[in-house]
Amino acid sequence: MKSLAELEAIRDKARENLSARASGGRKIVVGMATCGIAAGARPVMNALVEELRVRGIHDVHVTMTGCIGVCRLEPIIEVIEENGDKVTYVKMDPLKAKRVVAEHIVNGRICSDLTIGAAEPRVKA
Amino acid sequence: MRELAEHLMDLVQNARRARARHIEMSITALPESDQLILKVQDDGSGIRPDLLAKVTDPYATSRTTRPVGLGLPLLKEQCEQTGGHMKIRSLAQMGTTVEAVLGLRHIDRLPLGDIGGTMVLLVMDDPDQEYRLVLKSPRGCLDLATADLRRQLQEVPLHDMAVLDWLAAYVKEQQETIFGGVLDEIIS
Repeated sequence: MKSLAELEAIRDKARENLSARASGGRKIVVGMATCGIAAGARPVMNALVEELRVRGIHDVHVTMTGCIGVCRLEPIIEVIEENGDKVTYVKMDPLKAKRVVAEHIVNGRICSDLTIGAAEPRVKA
Repeated sequence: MRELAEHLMDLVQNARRARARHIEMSITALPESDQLILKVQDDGSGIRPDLLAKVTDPYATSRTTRPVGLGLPLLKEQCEQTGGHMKIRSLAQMGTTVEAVLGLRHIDRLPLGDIGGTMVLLVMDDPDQEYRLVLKSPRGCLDLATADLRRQLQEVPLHDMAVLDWLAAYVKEQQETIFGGVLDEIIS
């Protein structure tokens, strides 16, 4: 059984790493309004966090936002580089989310088949 | 929506948008009266009386991206589909309480889903927000407040990865203990 008492050990261990935590520049933003949630944004975001954790990536910040405005393409995530460049991925699921971490975040190759441009060439992101 | 945990996330997002300082979520199973009650209470800005009267109309919303809001209408539909109902109380500057009563054993009731995963994302997205999560059934009760976790963790932030892992596992275990055998989808 997990218990609140375990938090003490976690705290002591986390203290040692506090200074080591990098404050990085890259961000992944997940649309978490009703449209995104209903389309499955919650498991997508959990998958992103899990994949980053498994790979030991600490300098990518995962956050939520409201409705991005193209509800029919939800779940939508945006990868925002340090220089502000943004790639919008649409119709995500947990497996695609893990692929984006592996290919885009780790290897720097945009998954062009998952982008909004691939889904709807005429829609400007 | 595929899980009640997703409706919960949606309600909490409303509360956050209302700039609530404290957000309380509770899920109560009452097998004797065949009810499952999902409640979210916040101390945010409240809903204007004119909007409150028609808040379950999909074309009434305070969002500005477009004049349609489906969160509360979808939850109301889920309640009524399972023989329950939804109640909303709100006072300007005092906050809002949404109470969704669902038929516990009704075939159309959505499964509870991943409450731990929902909590982790909420805490991660804003580690300074105060949350309280209460899970209750005849089999037991969980009362978890972020304020208590913060006291225990001292200067270690709530969104430390090890803490979030613990939180997900803790809530999952509690959810299984409390609702196992009480909700059909969770085996005891």
